[in-house]
Amino acid sequence: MDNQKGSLFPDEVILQILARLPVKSLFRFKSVCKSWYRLPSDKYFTSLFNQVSVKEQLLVAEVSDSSSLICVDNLRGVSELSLGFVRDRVRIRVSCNGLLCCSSIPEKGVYYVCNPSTREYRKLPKSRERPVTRFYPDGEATLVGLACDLSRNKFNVVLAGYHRSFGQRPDGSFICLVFDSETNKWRKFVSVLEECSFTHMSKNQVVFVNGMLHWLMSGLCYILALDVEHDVWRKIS
Amino acid sequence: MSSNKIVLTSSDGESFEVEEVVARKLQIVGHMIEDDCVINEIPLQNVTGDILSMVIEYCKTHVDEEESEEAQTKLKTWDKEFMKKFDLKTHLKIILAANYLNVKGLLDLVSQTIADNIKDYTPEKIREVFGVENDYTEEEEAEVRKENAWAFDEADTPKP
Repeated sequence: MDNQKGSLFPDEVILQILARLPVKSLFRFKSVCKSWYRLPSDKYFTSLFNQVSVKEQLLVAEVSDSSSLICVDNLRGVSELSLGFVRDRVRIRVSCNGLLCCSSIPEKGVYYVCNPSTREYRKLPKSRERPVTRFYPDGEATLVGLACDLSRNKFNVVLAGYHRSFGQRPDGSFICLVFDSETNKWRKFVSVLEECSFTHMSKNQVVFVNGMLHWLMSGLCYILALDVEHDVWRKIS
Repeated sequence: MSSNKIVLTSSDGESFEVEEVVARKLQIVGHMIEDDCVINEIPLQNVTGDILSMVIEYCKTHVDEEESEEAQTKLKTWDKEFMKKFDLKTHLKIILAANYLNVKGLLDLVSQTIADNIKDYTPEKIREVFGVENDYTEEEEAEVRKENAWAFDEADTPKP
């Protein structure tokens, strides 16, 4: 088993090692050869990497009023991450399974989904729906959600709020826009939802579990849940 | 518990007599036993005696994995010490063996050990260690390095 040219180490063995490397090393080793460049994009690799990462959890915390993040990791200690790779001034809205959803500060209605570990990001297309610009109170949706499905390698971004014509009271129709990473499109659905007493939700008050996004409502009285697959709202007391 | 003995033979002809429960930790052997019940000697073509003895040592230690937290912690400590005994070259032989013999726990352990060892290597050093040929043209390699320039930046390497 001494070194010799050719496939001494089968891809499956290389994948096992790559899946346990810090993301930074993984990207550095893309320069090794074409196959090491390709392997991390492999579907099997993604699921293996996710399996390993779930066991070795990592905490990312936002440093207030700065664009950097602190990353705490069982194996590798503390490091700093920056959102500078997103070429815009952004505000983090929500996070889910390692992805962040950010909104642009200068440009209202522009959202990004990014992975601070790999420095990859995607600028979401602007929704052409007019109501999104009329959400209460300052042109932004009241509820923002990010659902990242690791097993299916996709994500959804949800923006929701009561429709409110300029200068009018909300008319009770609850508008929801859902972005799908696979189709790269927004879909819209309107529900009649009795008055929910929410103000602007803080970004940490949404959790994605079992295919549902859960927002904790103000007053901590109940949870508003959205089944992302079926576009159904539910109240959980 | 069955106390059947099974003989495992390495590619260089070394034989190891082990309990069936230990041999079953090698999934490749487990499948052979299930497919055909009367085997007592199994030749393993792709692994040499020195490496096979390490794999068997691992399997013997992990043969009855207790659920209790105390036992788990003890095993983890043992795993760490076990890995410390060998150098990278040996780790790379063990990973090939663990993959071939299909010993899941050992594969996880040795993969993580190797990853921890090589994470700060340069691409050049990786090629040397893994015997990988650089199949990029000069321009292509420069492009890939540029694309991932941040990953070569020392400044924000995690502090231990």
